[in-house]
Amino acid sequence: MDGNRVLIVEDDSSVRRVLVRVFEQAGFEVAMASNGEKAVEVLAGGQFDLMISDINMPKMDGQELCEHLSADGPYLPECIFIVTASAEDEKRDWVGRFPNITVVEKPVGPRQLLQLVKQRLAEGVPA
Amino acid sequence: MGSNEKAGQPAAHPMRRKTDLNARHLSLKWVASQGAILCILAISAAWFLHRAETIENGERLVLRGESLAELVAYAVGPTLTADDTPRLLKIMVNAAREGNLQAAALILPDGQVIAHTDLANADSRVDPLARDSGVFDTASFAAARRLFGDSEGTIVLRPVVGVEGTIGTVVLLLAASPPGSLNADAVKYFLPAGLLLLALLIVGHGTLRRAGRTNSVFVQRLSVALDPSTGQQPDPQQTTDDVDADQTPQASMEATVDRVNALAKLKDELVIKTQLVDYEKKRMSLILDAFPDGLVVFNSVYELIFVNRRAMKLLGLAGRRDDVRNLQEIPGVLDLVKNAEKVGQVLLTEPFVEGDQRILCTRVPLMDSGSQSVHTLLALRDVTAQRAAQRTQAEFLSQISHELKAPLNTVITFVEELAENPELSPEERREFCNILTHETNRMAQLISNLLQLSRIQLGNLSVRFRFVKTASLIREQAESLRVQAERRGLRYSAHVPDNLPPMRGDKDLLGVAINNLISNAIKYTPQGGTITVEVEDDSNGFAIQVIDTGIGIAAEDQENIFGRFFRVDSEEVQAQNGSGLGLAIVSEIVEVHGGEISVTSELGSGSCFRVWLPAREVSERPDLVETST
Repeated sequence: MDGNRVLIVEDDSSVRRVLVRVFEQAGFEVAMASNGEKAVEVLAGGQFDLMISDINMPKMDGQELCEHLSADGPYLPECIFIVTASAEDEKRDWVGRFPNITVVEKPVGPRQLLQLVKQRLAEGVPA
Repeated sequence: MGSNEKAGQPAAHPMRRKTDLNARHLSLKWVASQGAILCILAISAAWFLHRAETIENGERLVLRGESLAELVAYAVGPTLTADDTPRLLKIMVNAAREGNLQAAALILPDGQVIAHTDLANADSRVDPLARDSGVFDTASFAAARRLFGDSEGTIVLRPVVGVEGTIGTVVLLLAASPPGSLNADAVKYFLPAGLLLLALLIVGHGTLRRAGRTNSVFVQRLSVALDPSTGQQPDPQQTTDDVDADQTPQASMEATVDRVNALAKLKDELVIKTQLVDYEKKRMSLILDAFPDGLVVFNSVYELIFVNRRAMKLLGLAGRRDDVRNLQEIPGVLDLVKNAEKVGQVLLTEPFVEGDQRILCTRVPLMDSGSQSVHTLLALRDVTAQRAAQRTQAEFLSQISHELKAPLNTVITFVEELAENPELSPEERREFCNILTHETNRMAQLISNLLQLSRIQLGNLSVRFRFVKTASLIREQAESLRVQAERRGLRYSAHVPDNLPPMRGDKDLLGVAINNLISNAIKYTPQGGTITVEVEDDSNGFAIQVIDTGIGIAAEDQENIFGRFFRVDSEEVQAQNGSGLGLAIVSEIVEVHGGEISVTSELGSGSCFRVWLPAREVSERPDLVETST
């Protein structure tokens, strides 16, 4: 995996714009979606090894997106970052079923998020 | 004495003389002792008769009044009723027979006389006349005067204090002066008692003389100590001399009379004290049984010393307290005790608790004065509600942090971009600054909503109930939002009648509730829509209705919209700023005012929120009301 193609799923358009710009400047090829449903469509149209998704989104949220991709496809990207504001452990239990998900707790700036992604890619993705 | 005899009759046979002397001595002694017995008999009889007639001092009478009141309290349940009369009469007659008590009566707080003795007639009876003679003011001396008004003497009132407070009044009629003739009852009562005591004394007198110095000293000390007239510690040397075999019959008799006095007094006090101890025991057990925590006391080998009612229920012993004598007989309890020994406190587990119930078990060693642990106390406290409240609070805090992190994340994103990206165009900078303003406002709004919510929920004291001019309050709020509605291109109308009934409530909070409802309608109604505020008056209160032609609420969401942090999962709703607290706050405010809130809505066609508030009605939560209407 080259790890250069990233899908950013975020419902807030301004935040999404900033994220896209920061990742593009870092050399990533970036696609974006405003919710889970849109993300499924984008993933169906091409291969992405990396996905960064917000958790609270209308229509299909981050958790539903991962569960949908895992069960119905088209596929689960090899490396997934879920950004969440929830501090409750119970609300993150579902993550345990996906070994390739990294949870990032809000608040997190775009550059800090980029750092975390680079670090994870450098460490390699679990097989 | 011996040397005199020797000098007067030197020729006599020494042995014979000695025998004669002994015989004479014995015969003198016999006469003296018979004389003493007769004297004692006479004096004792006189004493008893005297005692029956003599007015006792005031202090003693006060004690007796209190004792009687306590005995009555002991004999009855939490309240006094006419059913208690036969038992009470018996107690009162027994207690009133002695001394200068002439009569006693028992009055309920409402003035009803339920027991009445009249010793002058040597009869006890329930006085039907007194019972029907109207209401007595129990606390008042005058009421008792009415009962014993025609009798000569002093009336003493004593409250009968039961476990739950004063349950009645004992009224005593005390003789003002010694009765002219001997009371038949007193003779009947004292004479046999006096004779019996004397018989004991005669036997005891000889026994004491033979029993040696130690016993005599002991009895003498006892009687002197018991005799309040002595008032000082007896001198051991003096005491020894008093009971010396050489003392005169007169002195011996006086000492014996003192002893009789002391013993009679001791007997009196013992009877009263035993009854008081029983009463105390019963009172303590009532208190401990009423205690909301379970209490178990056991000794070092786990034998049960005490179990109160609550503990019996918690440990499944209800109804079979007498079957279980040792903690080891209750399955699981010993493990519990041993765990508690290690950590001090443990939570009760199955089979003692069900479901969410949480019982905290605390082990406390009971120390004697030498700080030695003699027994162990287990206190079992139900902490279910406490734990639930803690959990709710923790959940709420977690929700708050979640709700604050989302806007904070946006703020960090744009602040970082503004700081780190030198290539941003002036337009973009302006746009990001606007977003920052918007997000910080959202956070400020969220915090203010949270404070409102906690003010209603946690700080009930800060809810200020006042007289509210209903019509002007609603009109004020409706008009303040007119500009905002019209700016969004909505048709806005508010119909508030002038003659609305006034109500009691917190003006600020009611304003927040009305404002939240109208603001929501404006927020979720697209351009060109209509918003109508209507107020309907009914006999008990009035209803405010906010009707819009907005996006509406799906049936499945309608029951959730009044919950905290709930936001409908749709683009139209998510596009609007909202903390998910607005309707929760409205709902809390309406509840605090004893009102009701409801919604009717259809997705895509609009919603109608209806708030009904009671008019002139004090809140259903009286703890929130400052003054009553």
